[in-house]
Amino acid sequence: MHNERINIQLDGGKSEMTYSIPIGPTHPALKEPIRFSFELEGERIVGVDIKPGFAHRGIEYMGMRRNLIQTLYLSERICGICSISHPLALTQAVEHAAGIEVPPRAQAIRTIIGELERIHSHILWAGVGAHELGFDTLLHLSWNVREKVMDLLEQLTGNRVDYAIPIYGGVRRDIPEEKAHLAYEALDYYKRLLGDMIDAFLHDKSVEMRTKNVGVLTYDEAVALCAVGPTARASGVNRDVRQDWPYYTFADMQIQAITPRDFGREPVGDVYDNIIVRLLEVGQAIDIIEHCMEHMPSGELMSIPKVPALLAALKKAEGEGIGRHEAPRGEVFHYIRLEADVEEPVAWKVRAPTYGNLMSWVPKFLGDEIADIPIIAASIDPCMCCMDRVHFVTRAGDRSTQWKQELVRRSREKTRRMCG
Amino acid sequence: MALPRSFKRALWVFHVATGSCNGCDIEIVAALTPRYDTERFGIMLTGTPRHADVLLVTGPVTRPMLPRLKRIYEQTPDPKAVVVVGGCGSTGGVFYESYNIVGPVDEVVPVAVYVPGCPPRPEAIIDGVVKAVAALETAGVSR
Amino acid sequence: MTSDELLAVLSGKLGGELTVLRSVEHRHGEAGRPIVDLWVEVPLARLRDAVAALCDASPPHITVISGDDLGDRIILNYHFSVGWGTHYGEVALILRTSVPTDNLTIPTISDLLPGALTAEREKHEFYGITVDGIPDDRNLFLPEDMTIHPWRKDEASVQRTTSMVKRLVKWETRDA
Repeated sequence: MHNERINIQLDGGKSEMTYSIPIGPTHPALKEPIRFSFELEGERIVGVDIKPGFAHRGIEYMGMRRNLIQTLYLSERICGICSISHPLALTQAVEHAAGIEVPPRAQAIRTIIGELERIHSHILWAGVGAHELGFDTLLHLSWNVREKVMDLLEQLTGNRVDYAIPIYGGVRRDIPEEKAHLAYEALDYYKRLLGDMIDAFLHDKSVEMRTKNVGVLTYDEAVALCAVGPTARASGVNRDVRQDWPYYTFADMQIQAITPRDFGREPVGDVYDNIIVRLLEVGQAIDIIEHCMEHMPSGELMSIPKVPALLAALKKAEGEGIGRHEAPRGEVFHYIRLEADVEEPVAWKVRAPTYGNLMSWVPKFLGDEIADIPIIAASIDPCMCCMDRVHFVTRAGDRSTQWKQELVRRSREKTRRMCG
Repeated sequence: MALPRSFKRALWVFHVATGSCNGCDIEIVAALTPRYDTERFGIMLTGTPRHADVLLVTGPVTRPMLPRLKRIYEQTPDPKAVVVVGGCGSTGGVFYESYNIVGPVDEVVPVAVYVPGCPPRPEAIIDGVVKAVAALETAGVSR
Repeated sequence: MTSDELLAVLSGKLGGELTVLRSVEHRHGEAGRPIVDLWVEVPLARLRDAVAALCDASPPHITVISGDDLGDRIILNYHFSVGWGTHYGEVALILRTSVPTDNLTIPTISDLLPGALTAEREKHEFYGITVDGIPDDRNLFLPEDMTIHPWRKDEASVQRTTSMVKRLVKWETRDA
């Protein structure tokens, strides 16, 4: 099918000369193990079909059978990497629906933890991307650097992942004055290292050769396919919920969506642009956290401190609301409808950012080679990218099974070839 | 059957995600990085179950992943041990009562070690793998 | 784009068939300006006209389509955001329409806005809604052989097939 309005091949042209490879599902490349099916002409990809759903747990179905506080903890475990993003959007939706206010100090703490999560997630992605290109050294270096923010998160919230910080009407834990120095130390650490990270990733000749003009998503495609997050910003679409529809403490700040132009490059929408946007966003996150720490409002942490009173207020609440948050991967959106005297949410819809970026994989893959599959799949940041098993079926019908090692080997060989 | 001595020197681990939220998966990968560094113990992540000694399974088993998990278990050669990482694989965790979940993992494959936590710390995961090797030694054959 | 401009665009095309449910302002931060979500309802027959009007005025972004099974009809909320790119420039638009349960068919908007395809496929598999003109109606998130619709609350729903819903944790004090 050829979409007339925008020049996108949504199912890929099939011809006599193509053969098809299914990939997956056992490779935790997404929040879900996922299955791709590539149509190849030689080494070039001419069609791609995506089947998600292997990690579909029925979250919304389950959430509509629990009370709202249980739903909050369930939403935290929708994704373990952006684990505060879903609670931030869900609490916003319920607070909008039920008319619950959030004190300013709580909003600032939510913002700080959200930005700390952005730092850890982007460094995680950078390491994984390096691994897909064959630079295991960069993987180990960047994940070692990431441990500092994981330590800070543990010191502030009590856990490395799944912090359980937001609650309807506020936050559960404070960032007291005694701990402020920990945050400043970590921020200084990253400020010193950011220049080195940008050097290692963006000024490295082999990374440039493997990522420039690979996996291109043009501006028009990004707008038409409704891409979100750094994937869209890398194509030049300056869309960012913190800029367009500012919530929490962002309402008092002037956040600007980061595009490759902030690095002096006209956006092409390739993997290199994705690296630029994510690394610069780490710098932006550091600035935001500093600003919030310096202007931390005083006051209470929760507008309804006692949980039974909160549950009673939520049970009486009637209304519907939406909540949006700019997670590290893009816009997280929650819609909720509450009915009076019913404990469970009557309707709940979750939209994670990769849901919106699924379709942008198709134009990114078309025209590139097999060896680029790992890095292109990783470029929209679908949580983790280790594609596991590739099954080749030739026209003659003989099969050969290739493993993740084979795909990564091809990817690394291409690097060696290009570096001469 | 006594375990070959090489088990104490090098243990290859294969990771299977059966629909997890990726929290445990990231902590498993973090266990390989320089802060926790399992490679100094000879524990390495491999890309194929056919070379693996220990299977690290995460996630409540979703319906589409059920046959794949069974197949991967069968493809792993003896002696092997299955280590379930995380609360949802052990008992279901926060995911109960869903139409697409058929877990927990011990209803699909036999499990040697459970590492509880949501997610467990990387140190706990390494401890779990070490206990799996100990379980293999005492049991003598694969479980 | 402000919500007034957005309403002018929509009522220009739809006239009296557009019902404005409410416009809600939320204030975050300490001195922030309000952010707006705008809830409107259109009849199903005018859905495509409304979306076309949005596409002509300013490229909209569709986030998702959420649904609500009310028994005799299913409410569909099309969540758009209009006006990205400038500080405080966006309005979150919720375009609501309802589909009668005895005639579950909606027109596709994926030719106007290709990004809506994922959301439409999801509505097809979770509610059993036929999307007229959709280029691809295979199951996306559910297994291919699944024929029942999890979000429905009636015979078509998963609850009827009690064997499908598994309780992983056995609660002694709660009923099964």
